Amino acid sequence: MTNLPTALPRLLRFGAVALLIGLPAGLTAQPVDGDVTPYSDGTFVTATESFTPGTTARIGLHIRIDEGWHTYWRNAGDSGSEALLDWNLPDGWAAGEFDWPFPERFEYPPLMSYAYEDEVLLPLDLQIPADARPGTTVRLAAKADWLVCDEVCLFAVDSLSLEVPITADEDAPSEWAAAFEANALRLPAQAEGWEFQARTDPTDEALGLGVTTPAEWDGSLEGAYFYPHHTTLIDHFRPQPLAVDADTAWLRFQLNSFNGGLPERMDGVLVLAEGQSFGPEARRAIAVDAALLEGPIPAQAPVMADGAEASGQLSLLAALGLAALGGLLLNLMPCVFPVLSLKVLGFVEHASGDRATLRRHGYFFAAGVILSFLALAGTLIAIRAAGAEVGWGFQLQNPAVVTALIFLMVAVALNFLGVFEVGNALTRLGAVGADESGYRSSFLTGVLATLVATPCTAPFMGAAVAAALLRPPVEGLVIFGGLGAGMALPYVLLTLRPALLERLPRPGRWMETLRQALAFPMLAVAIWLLWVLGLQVGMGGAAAVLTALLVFSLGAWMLHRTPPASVATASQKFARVAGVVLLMFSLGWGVGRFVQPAGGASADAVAVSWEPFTASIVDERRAEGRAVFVDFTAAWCITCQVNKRVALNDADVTSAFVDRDVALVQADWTRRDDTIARELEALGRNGVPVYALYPADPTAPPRLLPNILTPRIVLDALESVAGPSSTTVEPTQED
Amino acid sequence: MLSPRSTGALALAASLLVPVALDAQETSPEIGDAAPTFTLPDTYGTDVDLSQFSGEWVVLEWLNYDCPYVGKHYSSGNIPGQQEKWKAQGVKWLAIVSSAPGTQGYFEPDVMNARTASEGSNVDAVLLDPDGTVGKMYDAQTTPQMFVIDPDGILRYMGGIDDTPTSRVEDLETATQLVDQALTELMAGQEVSVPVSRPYGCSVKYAR
Repeated sequence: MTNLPTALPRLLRFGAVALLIGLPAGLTAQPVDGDVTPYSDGTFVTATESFTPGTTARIGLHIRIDEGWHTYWRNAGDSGSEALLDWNLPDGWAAGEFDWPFPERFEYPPLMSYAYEDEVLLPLDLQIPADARPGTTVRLAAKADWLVCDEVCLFAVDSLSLEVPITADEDAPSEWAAAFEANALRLPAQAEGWEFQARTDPTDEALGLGVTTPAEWDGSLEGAYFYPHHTTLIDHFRPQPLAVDADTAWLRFQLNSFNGGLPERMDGVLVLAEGQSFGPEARRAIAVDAALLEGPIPAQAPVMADGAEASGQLSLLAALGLAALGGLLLNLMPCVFPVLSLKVLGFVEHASGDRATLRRHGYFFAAGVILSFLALAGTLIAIRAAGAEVGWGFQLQNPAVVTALIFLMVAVALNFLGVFEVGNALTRLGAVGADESGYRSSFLTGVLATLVATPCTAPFMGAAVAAALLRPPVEGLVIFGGLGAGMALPYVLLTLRPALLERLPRPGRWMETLRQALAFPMLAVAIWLLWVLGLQVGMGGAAAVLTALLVFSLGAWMLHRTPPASVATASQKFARVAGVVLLMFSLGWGVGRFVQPAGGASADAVAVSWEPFTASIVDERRAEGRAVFVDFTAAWCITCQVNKRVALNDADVTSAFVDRDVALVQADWTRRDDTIARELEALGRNGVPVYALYPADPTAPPRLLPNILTPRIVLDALESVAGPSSTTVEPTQED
Repeated sequence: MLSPRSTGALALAASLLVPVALDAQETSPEIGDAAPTFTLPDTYGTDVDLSQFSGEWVVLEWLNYDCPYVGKHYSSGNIPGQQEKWKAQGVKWLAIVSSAPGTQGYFEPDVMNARTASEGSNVDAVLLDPDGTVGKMYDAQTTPQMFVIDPDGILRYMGGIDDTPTSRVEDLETATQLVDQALTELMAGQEVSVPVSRPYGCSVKYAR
């Protein structure tokens, strides 16, 4: 009846008939032919032929579903509902709840359904009473409700029953035993060694599920999907991007817009992608149940997070190829290209006609170039390592880094478009090493060429620098090696075949055109980064950065449009100064908004005393009936210092600490300390700052505060721990 | 001031960035915020603008007469009864059909009017949203799905008609009627005890 092309006329007719006879037209939702279970059939099945008194038997509701239709999982998603049983059992018999095999996803944009197609076996435990009499038969009866949908939905309601003999001896497996066994592998199971953390980030209505897999598991979480039990916790339709933070992978969700209050725990099923499994039985569904705590959710550059095809990451070889191409392009920069032929002609002169000598000059020059690039990469990697040491992550997770990169990309684009120029030192290159003749000098010339070319090539290398800072060290080295190789390639080729020199295009306007054209890929990268930033800090933050970029561009342009101070008129001088001011201001305002200001030396004047952390101090203080606030901090952690000054030493906060008799404990992680590391690990963190508030009740879980504190955050947290827990109304029954 | 070249470059650069700035976030309705306004034709061809009900209480009900969940609440008299009760108190009750043409719940206006009559509905108007614009604006996921808007145009309740997402008519006896509860509390000047709940029922049949 629901075949739409035919449904309309029939409904018309039916509606008219219903009107005539006053039949409640709501009944039209049921099939006209009286089938109580449209497009599906339900039966009770048992895993054994008989039941033994005093045991637990496995039975199930089997629903067979017509092609194209589906029935729902325990959390149906955005519409639909799960199957229900209304038992009518003899006294003393007790049936458990359904165990739900993991479902599939059915997308009806913008809605999502979690459901089963073809067939589903919903198993449950049945307690056989000890006084059941062998030789008799038990009649299991229940009213079963389920929903069957394709585009449209129909109720299925059936009275089901099954008679099963009671026997004293072992129960023989039934014809359904194999189905029960196979089905059991689709039920979620505890995964040994897997750890889960659930986070909520109220600032952007995001939720996260952190998955830490045991070291011996060699599968991939790519394509894993979390099916929550709660029906209005996450937005079911949105994708669940995966981000990796240290040894934990994070699935990210958006809060469901019909969430009426966060639950205390996030539970559900994590289903690994097809082909992935865990444990000896090669299961795919892992039971998840984790306390839902407030805290930041690691997010990753979306390009990788979205990597549905798993091809999001460039292979090393591809990166090398691209970098070499980039290096080759470096030679076409207006300030480098004219030098190319000059340099090679110099080699030709030195070689005095000996092809072998000429070739070797080329090789040494190339080696010099490549090694200089590698050294540059090494320096950057060392800087990064030093940065990581003091807690500065050069990662795209950090909005300040993303913003700095956006500025870099736009600056490069402006430079390419000729809005401003960086000095032009390369003209000297032709003369460098000209009066030396050995191979050593060729090598050094290569080194010098790289160095001297820097002012001209630096903008172009911005992307490579960023890569070296953001990618794993090996990739950084490969990219820079590739750049060097690319830049050196023409020299090597030309020393191999000096005749090609004649074929080189003449320097000219085309070089300028090329340079300007290259501005646009740079701007494209800036747009991508801006999108990343928008995800991290929201539209407001991204708009602020755009505004800063506008001011930045204006400043750069003003600076370049005015002549040097020595020849400038007063107004030009003013414009120049204004340009510099705009540049500084925009950078400071744009990037600085996401950078934690450097903390000054601590000048704590407020009289609260902090006890040093020991393994047992939290338990001891809680035993005294006190809540405990633990500040996991380190001298090199700038955020920690800022938090201390802004929030922890705030007068309201310190007096709240005193009023509520909160025990204050400082865990100083300046020198890595195993006791503290273990405590951090227990909290699911691996770095500082971490602020944990342990309620006085020793059974209550600790509450994690955000990494960036305000007095309000601390006060609210204290309030929630000390006062009656602010209950949120849960309007629908969840299980 | 600007040379043509740099003007062009800046304009280009700016125009490249504009799409990013305009890529506004998807929004969903929020309790305590102004309910999104809209204008939709009713089944008699009259345009109905939400803002014309300023100063009045408004209930929005997402409707699909052929959805069995909607059927449960109509055949049992639950929704028609509430419509009658609250209309008597001056509440405007608007049903919105976001089913796309050719999908379940979409009817030509005449047929819709016949159904509205035969279902015993007491709505003020059935509004037609065949392209789903208003449905998506309100994040309407299911039929039935309910919204309560106060005389200042502020959204006060959103979610299910009640708290028992089943097909069984007998569950109406124990279910809490959440729209009725919210309106009762609001008219008494109280806080809504359950302002957001799970909308349940059939999916809204948006165009695919």
